[in-house]
Amino acid sequence: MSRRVARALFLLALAAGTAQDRPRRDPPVTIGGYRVLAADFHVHSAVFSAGALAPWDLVLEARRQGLDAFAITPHNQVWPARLGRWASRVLGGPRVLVGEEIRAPAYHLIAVGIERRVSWDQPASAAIDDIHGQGGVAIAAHPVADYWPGYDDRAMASLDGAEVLHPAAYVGSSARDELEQFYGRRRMTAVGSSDYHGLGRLGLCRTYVFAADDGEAAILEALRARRTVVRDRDGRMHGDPALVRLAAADGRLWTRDPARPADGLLFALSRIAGVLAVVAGLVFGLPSTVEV
Amino acid sequence: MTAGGWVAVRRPLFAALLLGCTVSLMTVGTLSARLVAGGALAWSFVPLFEAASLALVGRGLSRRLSFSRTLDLFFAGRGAWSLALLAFGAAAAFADPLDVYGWAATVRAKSLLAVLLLPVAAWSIRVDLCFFRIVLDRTPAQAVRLLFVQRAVSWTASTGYFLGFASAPYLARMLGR
Repeated sequence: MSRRVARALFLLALAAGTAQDRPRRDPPVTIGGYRVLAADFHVHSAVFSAGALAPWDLVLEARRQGLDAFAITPHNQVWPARLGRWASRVLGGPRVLVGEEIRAPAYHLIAVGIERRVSWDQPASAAIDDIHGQGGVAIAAHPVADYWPGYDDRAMASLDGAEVLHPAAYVGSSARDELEQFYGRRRMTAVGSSDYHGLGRLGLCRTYVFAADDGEAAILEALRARRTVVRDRDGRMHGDPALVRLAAADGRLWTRDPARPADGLLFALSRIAGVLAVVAGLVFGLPSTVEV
Repeated sequence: MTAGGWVAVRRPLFAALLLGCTVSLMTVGTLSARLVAGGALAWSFVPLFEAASLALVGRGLSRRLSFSRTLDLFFAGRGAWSLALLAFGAAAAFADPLDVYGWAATVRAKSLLAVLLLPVAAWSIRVDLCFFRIVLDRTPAQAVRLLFVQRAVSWTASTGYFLGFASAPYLARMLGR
């Protein structure tokens, strides 16, 4: 009897949770003649990449979070990202760019728009050359002070962008200042990324890309041309000053900000039911006999 | 599927389902079919490596039970980790995403998490030692050795699969390259 109740409760919670799990439907935003895309360029998947969600689940989750594009950036490899790009084409978007987090002891570097793996076993400047050779864009990943020595003058000169906003900025006491100091070293593309592994939220920190269209080539061209705006939770903005002014005056862009946690009685009940259902399943769901 | 086959897979499948539920709670705060199924599939490597490691160290060691039943009893002892997972998923379901990110972002948070997991690990070790002693008829010393080998195999394989090539630079450094 109790097992039946547990299963019924589980199925009910599953039905309620599935019904609430809907994608965001944001209208396209055009500002200053550019199509403005909400993007996250630092996302990890399950399958050899220390993430919680499989590449195809990332595609669906990015859609739920209202992202137009994102890069799957496995550690020191690219094939899970290619799998994600294939899933995106099958599922109908959002656009997935193939990327890699080149994770070397001295630096962590995001490559976006590549096809082949970039070796970690080389200085940052050589890795950046390799990324550029493939037509990709090189972004310093969470460049807090620990990683500064990994970027020598040559690497700094060829770097395309830096993560000026990252969830670490909200958690560590000095991370925000360090990210901004690194970004301020020279004129480069402002990037906000969630570094999503499964904790937190995909697109929690995001980049608004001012692109000619929503194609991969246009996104990469916009990143190279530094046409981005990043805005943190407190409303502080980084990026191309003219575009920052345009975005602030327009105001529509902030409707594309990460969704705040949902509230309301139904959602709370759905969450409670979900947890209770798994507890009930754990306690009653299987034969409890363990006689040897 | 034969009765023996079902006995062998029912608890490993339940472990995978629980992992999928945790992924769903962490991601959307509720149980969503796509995330429960996708999470169970993506994280099925955990029960797979557990089962494979038991097969490696325990096959043929039980004189009274089939391997299916041995595997079933082994997974019956996953209660401690299951409850810990569920507690984590439930906490994540109700917390602000930024707070959830912070749970594993600082040394202090990681240390706290490790301390919270100590009783879980102790409970799980006790249950598994009982399994090796009673189900597999081993002496206490043999049970400790089997448990060590089984965990070394399954945890190394799971961690290697999870981290993938991220660990390569650090392994290279450890090996003096």
